[in-house]
Amino acid sequence: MTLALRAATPQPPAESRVRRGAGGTAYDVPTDPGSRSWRALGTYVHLGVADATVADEAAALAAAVLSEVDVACSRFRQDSDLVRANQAGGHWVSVSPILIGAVRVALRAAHSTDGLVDPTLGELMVAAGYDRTFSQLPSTVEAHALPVPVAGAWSDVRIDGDRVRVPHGVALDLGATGKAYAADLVALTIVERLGVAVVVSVGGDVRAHAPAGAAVTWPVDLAPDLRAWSDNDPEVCRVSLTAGGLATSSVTARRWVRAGSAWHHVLDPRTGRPAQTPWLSVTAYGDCAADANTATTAALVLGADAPEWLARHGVAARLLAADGSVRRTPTWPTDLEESRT
Amino acid sequence: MTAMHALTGVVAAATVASTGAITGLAAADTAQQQALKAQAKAAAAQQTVAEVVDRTYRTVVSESVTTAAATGGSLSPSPKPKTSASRTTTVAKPVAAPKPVAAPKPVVAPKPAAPKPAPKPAPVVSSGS
Repeated sequence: MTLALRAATPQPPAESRVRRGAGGTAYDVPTDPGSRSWRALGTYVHLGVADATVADEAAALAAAVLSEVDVACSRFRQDSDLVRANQAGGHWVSVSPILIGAVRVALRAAHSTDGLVDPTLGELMVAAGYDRTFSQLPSTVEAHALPVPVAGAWSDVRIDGDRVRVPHGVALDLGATGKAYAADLVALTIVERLGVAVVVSVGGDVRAHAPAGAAVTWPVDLAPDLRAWSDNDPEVCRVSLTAGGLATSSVTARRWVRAGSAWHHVLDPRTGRPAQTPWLSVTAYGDCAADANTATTAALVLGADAPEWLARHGVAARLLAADGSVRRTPTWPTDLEESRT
Repeated sequence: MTAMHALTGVVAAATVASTGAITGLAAADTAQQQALKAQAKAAAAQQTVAEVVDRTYRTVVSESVTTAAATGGSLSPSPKPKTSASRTTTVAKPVAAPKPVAAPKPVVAPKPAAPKPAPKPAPVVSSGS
């Protein structure tokens, strides 16, 4: 009798603790037993599943997927497929299906934004000083000569089966869409393998997915950066996500000083310099995390023209300006937005 | 975890032959040295694209997932759900009353415990990073 009661009663929330999963990944287990968080791809990962009994299995699966993304797509690992493809500029290179998918996503982003989200700025990013994983980057970097971006070089990137060809003289950098693609891979894989509703945030690029008829609505906190979220700054708000993607891009994170000037990681391919934008951060919904991230990155690059561009493309977006004011596109679900309490 | 998928690909090795292995020419004239070095560099560049090795890609990501993620879609058809539709629908089963065992007084059946509300899902964060 007592056992039956216990089995039917929701388990008390687990205390926050660190659990070590297969492969050595340490997961932080917050008070929600269906949640896990850890670091991967140089950023944070938050994972939630509807069935807490499979949370450990889901976290291990997600960690494995993210590890594969790192091996395939990192420009900071000399053994990655991406580095091999970049080093063989102008020649075909066989790569993993993970990188093929990542390049397809990057090219789709470039095409849908007319090149505002450009994956061929790798050489420029390195010359600007962002040549290693960001946590190892000094706050001030040496000033090397900056290459001029090759307009439209992304349209010369070719894919044929399991082979990719990067144009000579440019290098792919999948930093803009790579994390979002990873979030999509994680969510789809967990639903396929475990049959459970899931939400995952990979550095702010969020994907929710569920088996048919098992959708769950998840709370998502929006913040310019993780510090603002930790400090519970007033601009932090909460929205919900049931299916699809949600992404936030910001110019307050990943900043450094080069030749006395402040740089951030969102480069304007039209100028080869950090995007000049009035927005601290832009958040958008999309069919998947990659689509959402494409919209937010393009919005930062477009600057003042972003609200009109987003509205014209039917994107539900929320733009936080440097003065704290907020702009929303007509399709943004204002009724779902609430203060974080 | 279920079995991993294995995909086989052919990888063009990015090995570059050393161009500093020219030996025995220390006393040769400079023009000949430069010509040999140029030949070595050309050979190394050719080797970069000509050398082919086999590599097996093992991945936990299925081909259908990779395709769906690359095209912005979802999995189709959706797999059968393994859990209930909502994580807030957990309900305690009614507890059967214990039968009295030769007791003079009837035993009052315990009331089924009211289900506690399930914990709210912890929020995930969407921020610049």
